[in-house]
Amino acid sequence: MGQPMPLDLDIIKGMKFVDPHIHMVSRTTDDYQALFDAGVLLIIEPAFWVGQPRTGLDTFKDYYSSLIGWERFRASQFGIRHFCTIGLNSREANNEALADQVMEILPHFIYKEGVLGIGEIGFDDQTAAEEKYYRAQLELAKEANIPVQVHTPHRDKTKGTLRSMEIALEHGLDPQMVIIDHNSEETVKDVLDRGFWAAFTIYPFTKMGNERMVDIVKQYGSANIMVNSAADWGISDPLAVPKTAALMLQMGIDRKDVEKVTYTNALEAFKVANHLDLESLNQTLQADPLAKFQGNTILRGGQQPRLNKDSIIIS
Amino acid sequence: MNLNSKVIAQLIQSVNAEERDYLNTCEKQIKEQYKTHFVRIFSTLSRKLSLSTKEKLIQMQVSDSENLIIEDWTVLRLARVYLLSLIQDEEESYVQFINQLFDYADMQELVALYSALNVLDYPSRWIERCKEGIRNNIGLVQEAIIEQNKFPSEHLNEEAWNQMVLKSFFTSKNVLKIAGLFERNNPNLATAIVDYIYERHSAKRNIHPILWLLAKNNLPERALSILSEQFHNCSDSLEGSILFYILEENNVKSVEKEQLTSLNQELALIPFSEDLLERFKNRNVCVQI
Repeated sequence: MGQPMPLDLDIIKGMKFVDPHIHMVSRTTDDYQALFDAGVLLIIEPAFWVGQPRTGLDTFKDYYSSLIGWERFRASQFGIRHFCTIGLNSREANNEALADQVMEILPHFIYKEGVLGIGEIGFDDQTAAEEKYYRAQLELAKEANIPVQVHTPHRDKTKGTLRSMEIALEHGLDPQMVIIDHNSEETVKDVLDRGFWAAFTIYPFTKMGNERMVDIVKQYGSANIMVNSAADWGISDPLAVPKTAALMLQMGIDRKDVEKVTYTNALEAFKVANHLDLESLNQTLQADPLAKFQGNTILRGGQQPRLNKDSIIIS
Repeated sequence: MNLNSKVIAQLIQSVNAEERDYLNTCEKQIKEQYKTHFVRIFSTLSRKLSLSTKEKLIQMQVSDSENLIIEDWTVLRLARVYLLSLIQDEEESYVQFINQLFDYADMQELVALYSALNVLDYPSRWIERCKEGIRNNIGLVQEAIIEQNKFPSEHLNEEAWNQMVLKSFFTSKNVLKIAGLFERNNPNLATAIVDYIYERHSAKRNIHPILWLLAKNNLPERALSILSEQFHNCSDSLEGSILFYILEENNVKSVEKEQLTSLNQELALIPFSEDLLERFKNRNVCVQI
């Protein structure tokens, strides 16, 4: 396990991918171009922790606003459809005074264009405050009838995952409206047995590796399973989804199963068809749907020009 | 401010029967108690209209749409502008309410809100909002203000107007879609444009022909020589025709007669007219400058 293997994406040429968990606000334009080139045409960006504590409500408001505004537009310029889930994440639930204010503004955002559901929410330290706001947001999701993307903790993971699912069931949520994220070999069976969606984060050093992911799909099949990169401001890999697809094909997993795990299951779990005509995914996204680039195709495939990285000249 | 009846008729024609009923219910609810209903109606409209309806494009004659310029608007955009036009209240409550819509808006809502500037009540209260929108970096939001919108030309002062026009070149907008572009032209704008032309020339980047047109009465010698150079290197008939007109207007002698004749034939120059500008506008190529 873990031996370097040359990167060859030819095997996935022409395939389409969804990365259902990626934090693009922390990534560069190079990543957007690499995602496009590798066939990732739709991404889902859950609201998350910015890496340090927030000190006031307005930073939440501006952050949520950027997920439905600037970041969504930025993605479109690279030919990528950007959706998000909006929520108060578990770490931030522990600042109760602020969390109460955030709960008041959430209803303003969850019906906006580009918002697929509530996320990422759940447990981190598994405190009482985390539980309180997890429950409140499950109620919000139930009322709006939208999916929930649940973060599971790094520490005491199995217990935290089981608790997350029990609480969701207690609130009467349909397990098919809940995506349990960051699974491992230890949690996958419990999640699938209860009928929830099981997402796996391919993230170097701290979460899943993709060789392990291959074994999981071989053992459990492709139903209700999806992979994501959760790429963020840490050492992570935005191409985790296409790379894992390539590895699965190389390792003999059937193409149909690969497609489910890296594309269709995510579309289904997040009810993307309620927001866009899935047929449109067969066409390259243009940032401005009205733009008629008559005879001007230099920007085809996303609209941003490309830097020549092999040249020392910057013009 | 109520929308013109022709605009409403156009909207009604563009939706199906079920959607029409829904819009009627919305109208009633907004008129009865907009503070309770509007945010929900406005935001969720994109989910209430079918995918095929909301992305349908609408065009109207300017003479029919009065204070709006409806050209390639989606039904969603027009329907939201219509909903906004139904809100009535005394000034402070009205302004506070609309400001809150801006604060929480997604991209398509921002497009509708800025498109509606010219039908919102208390126009003087939206001037700062308009300036802020021009600073917005999201292409389609900028376009909703800069292109096909009469509010900026009717309400912005010269300084803000000039910033908007310059920004439209920097961000590759279809500048001929700016309402009042030539009516509001002014010498201070020309000065800034000439500066921009020098910068583009030094950087060896191309120069948008409409920049020349806006600055045509204020071109110093250095600018005129750059203009001649650009004309001689030009290979496009429409652009060449515009540049040639400005050269003529400035009586540029350095353009030798012989060269002119051959260039004229090569480029198939056409006399300067509104029609020429219309053709240039409709070419609708995102000019990379």
